[in-house]
Amino acid sequence: MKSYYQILFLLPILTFTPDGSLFAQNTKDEVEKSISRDAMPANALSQINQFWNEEKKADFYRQSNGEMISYEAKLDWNGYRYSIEFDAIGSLINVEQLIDIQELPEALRNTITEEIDKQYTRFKFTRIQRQFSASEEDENDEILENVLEEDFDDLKIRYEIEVDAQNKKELGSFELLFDENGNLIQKRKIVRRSLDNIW
Amino acid sequence: MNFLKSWALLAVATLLPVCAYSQQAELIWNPEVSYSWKSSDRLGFNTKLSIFNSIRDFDNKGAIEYIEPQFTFSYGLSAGTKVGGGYYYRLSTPLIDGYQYEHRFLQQIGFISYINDRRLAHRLRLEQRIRSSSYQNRLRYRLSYDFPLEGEQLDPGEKYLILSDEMMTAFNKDEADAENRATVGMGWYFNSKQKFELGLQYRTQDIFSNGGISHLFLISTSYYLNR
Repeated sequence: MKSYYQILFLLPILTFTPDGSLFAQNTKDEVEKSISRDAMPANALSQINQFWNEEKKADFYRQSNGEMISYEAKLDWNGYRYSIEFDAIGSLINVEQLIDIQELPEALRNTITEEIDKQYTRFKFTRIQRQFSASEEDENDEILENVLEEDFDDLKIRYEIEVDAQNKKELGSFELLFDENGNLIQKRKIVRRSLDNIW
Repeated sequence: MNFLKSWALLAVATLLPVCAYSQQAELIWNPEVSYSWKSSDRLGFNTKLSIFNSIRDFDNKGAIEYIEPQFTFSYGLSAGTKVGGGYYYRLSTPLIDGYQYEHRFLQQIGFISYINDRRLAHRLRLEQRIRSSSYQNRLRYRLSYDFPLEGEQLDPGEKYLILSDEMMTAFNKDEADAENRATVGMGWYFNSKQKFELGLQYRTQDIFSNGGISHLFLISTSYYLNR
């Protein structure tokens, strides 16, 4: 009996011993860590504080893809959920606003729907984000101000649309990026975690 | 860290009854190794080896209550709906003379919804248990919820929490009974191919039995591999 339990106890220890090769393949993945407000770059905080009361709840994250580090603040403002992304020194990269599909102008909504219809036999919208970034690189610091003032003329607007979809070859969740005219710029599959522990 | 504290509290809340019932309840350690793979977006397979060890009989031949190799497959009907089936073989008390076996066939349907990396899964399962001396049907419904403890997405090296509750009824032409299984667990997500879960489960068994309800506490250590 003793040897049976020795094997049972030793097996997990041997299996869990970190092997460099197991972890090396994930170094290029984007990793997100929840951080405190104080860990955000000062420049990023000062931009947020222009319109955001420090007492109100916001979530802060540090992201790394192995090459680039960025910071993100997520907060609810004026009825919308915003994600505000900054680079490592706190310069603003873009602002994303969570919206409902019905908030898209009808013509744009139809164009986007037609494009997704071409890609899949069945689909369902699961998440729509309006993404604001600067038209010119040197205007990054004005993005937030323009979004808050709803002055979108100088901003580049894109739509990040997540769908649950299927066609003959594919089944799953997908992220599609459209420009403001409804042209498909990018499509990628959202890799979900294995369901082996809950299914 | 608040999540960790919450988990610790939940674990204590689960373990306290273990102590309270320690005189009557069955205590089980359930190590499991699971391996999953997909042949397409729709079709997935899983094999698992599950062992039930009686903690009370740790020092004698009754220590291994059963060894159970399992095989299941699933077919995705949509991004959030799966159907599947499988076969389990259970060898009971393998160290004691006169061991018993069980063939188990199962059919199931699951609905999974996501909020970022938080997942809510409903699973409805029908089982046919063919034992060496009897036959039993079982209908099970399980609700599971797992979520990352650090941030909105679960990244390699992070931990997650899993909560689930499963209700089931077992019946054949002669009798029927019911059981509930409440589980709280912590998971270590090493990378997209490997994770480990430590779970604490409380089973309320024989709910309709004339002999009264019985209790089982189970500590599971599950290692998941997937291709």
